[in-house]
Amino acid sequence: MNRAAEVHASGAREFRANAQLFARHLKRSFPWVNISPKLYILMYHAPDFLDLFGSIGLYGEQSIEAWHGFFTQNAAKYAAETEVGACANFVRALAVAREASDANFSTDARTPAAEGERTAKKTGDWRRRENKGGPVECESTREKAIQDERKWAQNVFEEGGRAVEVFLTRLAARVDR
Amino acid sequence: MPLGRFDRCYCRASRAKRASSDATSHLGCGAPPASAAQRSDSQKSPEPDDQWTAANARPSAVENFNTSDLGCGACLSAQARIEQLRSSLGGATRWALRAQRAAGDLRIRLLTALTTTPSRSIPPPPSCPEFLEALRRCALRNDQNGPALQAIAATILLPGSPPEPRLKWDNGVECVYVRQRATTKPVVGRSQRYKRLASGLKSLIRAVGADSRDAVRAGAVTVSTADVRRLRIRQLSEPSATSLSPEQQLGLIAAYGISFTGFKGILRGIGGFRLGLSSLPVLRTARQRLAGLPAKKVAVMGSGAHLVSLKGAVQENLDALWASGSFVEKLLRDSHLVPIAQTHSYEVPSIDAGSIAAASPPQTVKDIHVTLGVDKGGTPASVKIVAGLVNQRRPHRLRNTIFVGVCPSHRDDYDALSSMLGEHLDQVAQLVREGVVVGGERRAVRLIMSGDYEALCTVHGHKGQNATMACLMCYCTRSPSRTQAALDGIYGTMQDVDAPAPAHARTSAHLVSMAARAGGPANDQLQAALRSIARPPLFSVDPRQIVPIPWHILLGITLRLLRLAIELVISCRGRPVGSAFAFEVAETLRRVVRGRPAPYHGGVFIGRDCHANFSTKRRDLPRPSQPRG
Repeated sequence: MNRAAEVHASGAREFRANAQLFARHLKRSFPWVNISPKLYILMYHAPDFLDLFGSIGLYGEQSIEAWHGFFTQNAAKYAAETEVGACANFVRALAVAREASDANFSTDARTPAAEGERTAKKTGDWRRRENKGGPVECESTREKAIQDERKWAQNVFEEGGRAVEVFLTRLAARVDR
Repeated sequence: MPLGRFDRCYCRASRAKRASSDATSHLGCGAPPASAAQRSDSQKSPEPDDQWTAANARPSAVENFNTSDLGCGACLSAQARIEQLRSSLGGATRWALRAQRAAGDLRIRLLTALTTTPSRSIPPPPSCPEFLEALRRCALRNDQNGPALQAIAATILLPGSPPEPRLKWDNGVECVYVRQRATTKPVVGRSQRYKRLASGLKSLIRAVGADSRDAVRAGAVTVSTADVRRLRIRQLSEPSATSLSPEQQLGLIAAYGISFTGFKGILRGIGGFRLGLSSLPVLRTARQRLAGLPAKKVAVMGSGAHLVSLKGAVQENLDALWASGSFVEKLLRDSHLVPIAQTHSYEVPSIDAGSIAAASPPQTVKDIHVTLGVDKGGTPASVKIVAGLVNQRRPHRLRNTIFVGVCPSHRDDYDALSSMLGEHLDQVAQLVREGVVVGGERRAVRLIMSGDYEALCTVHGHKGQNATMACLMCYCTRSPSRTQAALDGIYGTMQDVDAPAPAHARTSAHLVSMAARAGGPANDQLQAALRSIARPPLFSVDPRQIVPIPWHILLGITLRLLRLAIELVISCRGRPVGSAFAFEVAETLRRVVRGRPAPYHGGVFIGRDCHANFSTKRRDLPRPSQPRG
């Protein structure tokens, strides 16, 4: 779905079938699951869009989200007296940067590697997760990560427990009726 | 050999002569006094003389002297001397005869040379084919011609850019020898280092003109193999001047956030002028020229900074795509998933026609696909407006998109977005209505709305994902309820997953009607009329052209599945086990997967660590332990 490429007709049919099967199986196996608008879009409208345009990833919002990171990283380079002035410098620079787009700055694209060509095959390959080594982080960062992790687990647990509890309560009320 | 005055016999005769003062005894004892001519002859006889000939040789007195006339012992020595002189005379006579014969030959050859006319015609040098033929016949291969042949070959092969040598064999096969570049290794072993040192030393000797080996040994002169290597590389791979215009170089500088000071340092460091890079004054001039273009003008409004002409920017990108041959046709598909050919050009509709029809042109009309997205995010928080052209290879690349504007704001509600997008609404409407000209042909603009679900709802005046009709693309209700039972019956609900397709898709006509209301939809209207559209839509595009937010769906469903696993444990094993399992899942995510939930957006997994780790294959990840209890 997020692949920025044209999808073949067979792939589109397969995607539609899998998406609907996934949602139906989810709803039947876990009756307390509420089909959210995102799940509903995945189930019905994403296959429609894929059938019509041939791709979803090419039209996706990935580029907009990427601009957030770029702005966060480079906003300091375009500082001005006011925040709006800094934004204006940023937009001016990016307007000039369009001169270096692929259309203006054509380069020979490298042929992508074959499927599975860059997959780690040996046990000692550094691309494997166990050979990469962990990121170097200080003690405070690690403690902060642990706190965030516990907070996340607690929130998810409470939310999930509430959903299950509500479902069981409704189910019991229905049985009583 | 005549000894003259130093002869032993002569001395003895001289002593005898001095002893007998008178000349009375010269008949018996002592050598007869030789005349001046005889003495000179005897002295001259051993020396060859060109004037000496047999014809003018006079018989000397010695030849007429008879040794039998001598009677005493003293005269015997004189006789022996006479014999010796006679043999010497014979040798001289033979030598004279040979010399006379040689002189005669020389005179004959001289006369012959003078009388014979030399041939004035110098044989012409052999032609190249004749030379080649002789070379092939091995007629020139000998020790004498070997160095000359090597010199000829070196003259052909050694210049800087020789022609391609071609060798044609008798069977018709032609071999072409092409010069190949051989890069020098930066790090070599000892043997190769010595070879390079010797080569450098030889070059130095050739350049200086004297044997500088001693100077090198003494350390006065340094021969660096690095210099030799650099010279060779420079000769083999001479960098070519770049063909980038100053505007393109400026675009690269801006795209990568390099300051002019940094670029100046790079320019000096790598010898940028030799590579054709522009100087800073040229770049500043180009920047001023670009800033004057309508497509690149920026206006500062109260809401933020915006491009003045979105249409100009789109047209500029399309022109560049078409000129570089990078324009990619995007065809829609029919119900059988077969691409529909675009055969008709776009015609600008009349003013009376609605703009929504232009936003979704017929499928057979040639068009371009333009995405327009709005999203809030980043630090500091700001709302970004980005347009994209899908008719290219990499539409998501940041340099290939059009950054329309950025508004520093922590709010992205309807009022804020309407003020931000208000600068561009007319531009978008004009772009959609008039289309663009690509390759001399007018094409329609198919506007496709993108962004997160909240922004999409806001742009369309929708109440959001918690509204009764939560979907932007259809009219189905969110969940069955007693108050909206009639709507549930008509349009269906999202929870009805058995339906093959949504019963009623949202139409653009409804959006247009909502947008046409001057004061916006009244709140007291029925839900059946409003259909969760609370405010006038800012854009009234076809709902089928709303992107189904693939990235946000991935984030949301990933988190939902993790929560579902915890819910499953809670429902099956109880809350204590579910709580422990939730903490174990969180720890596994941190330690093994190395993905950290964001402290906002409900704890979704976003960030660089999630990008890198979640793309790996699932089989590489260990599973969390089975919940106990």
